[in-house]
Amino acid sequence: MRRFFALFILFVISSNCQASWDEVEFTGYVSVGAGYQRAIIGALDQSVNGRLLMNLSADVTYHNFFIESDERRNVLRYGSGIIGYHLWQQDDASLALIGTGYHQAIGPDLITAFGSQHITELEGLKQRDSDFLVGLRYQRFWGQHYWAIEAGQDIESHYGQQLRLLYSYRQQLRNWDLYYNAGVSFSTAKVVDYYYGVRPAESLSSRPSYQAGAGQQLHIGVSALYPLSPNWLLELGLAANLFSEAYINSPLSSRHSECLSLVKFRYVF
Amino acid sequence: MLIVCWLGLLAVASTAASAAEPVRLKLTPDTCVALQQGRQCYATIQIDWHSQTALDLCLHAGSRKLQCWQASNSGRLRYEFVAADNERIQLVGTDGILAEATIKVNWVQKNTKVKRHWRLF
Repeated sequence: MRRFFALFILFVISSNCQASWDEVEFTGYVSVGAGYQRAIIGALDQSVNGRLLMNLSADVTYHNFFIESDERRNVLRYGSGIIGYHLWQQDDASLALIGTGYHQAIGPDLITAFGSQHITELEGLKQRDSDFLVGLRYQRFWGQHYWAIEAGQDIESHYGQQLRLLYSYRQQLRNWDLYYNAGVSFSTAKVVDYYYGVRPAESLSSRPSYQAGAGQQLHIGVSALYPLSPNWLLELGLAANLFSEAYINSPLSSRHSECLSLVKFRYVF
Repeated sequence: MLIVCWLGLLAVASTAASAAEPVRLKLTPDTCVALQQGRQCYATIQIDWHSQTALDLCLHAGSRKLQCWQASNSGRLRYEFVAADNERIQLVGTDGILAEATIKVNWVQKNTKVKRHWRLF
């Protein structure tokens, strides 16, 4: 509900800027593909592996208001778009008020686009909801280089804060676009403990209680785009996340790192 | 009676067309797709031509001469296309242009009148 409220506020702000509908720019995407992941919480692998991944998203700009789909060079943000409002922008830099989700839900019953999914290994855990952080993003282009800094406060589930630094380099290789991405994120104890902590009421002999402190993640990835036709794109992605001890020490974590690979066909309209 | 006349007219038109275009020119593929409008598009195009009579001719891409043939009925060329816009391919003989075709450049993302600050793919 808060997400829609935030979206509404941003829309109202932007519509007061005397923008005409001629300035609305819309690109829609329908993606179909498959992925393979080895998540830090091993039980979550099944939410991606062996499934057909479908996604409907859009990029919209209307004066200073914007919606950015997750269909971007940043594999780190897979599964979550951004709504925002440009407070200031130039050709090579921008400062924006943004709202976005950083974490997906964790729990024994996950809601997916294809219905609910029950994960036996996570039975007994209370549902950890996806988050929605409101904050600021400064981003800058420099030739084929892109970097951004994002800082936000959750208003949906854990009410913690997160800071992210992102870097991406684009290489144009004939008709291909290759993106080499790196990112680091810093999360407060509230964030890490909400997702990776284990409350006494949730503990089992194989899952002792755990209280997490602040944590960091390092992301590296490469993604590629190739135009198959004026309406179809082929997208390939490979990414890895490395976690600090606050994540690794959690009884929910079964690995020290995670990786995700994606092959998608994207229809652009 | 009307149908017979109609078929007769079609046959005459077909003969006239083949007489006016004795050289066939084929591009495979004939389209190149880039991610964004204005960006260089790359494609390997196979160019085939065929004529019923032996000819001296040259193949041109835009203003560039790619290859010439002497007293040939057919020819084939692999052409590395690199351009941001459409390019016309022409077979030019001693009497002028014998056949022509166009390599079309398309884009997934067209430039719009709205200034785009943060367009990424």
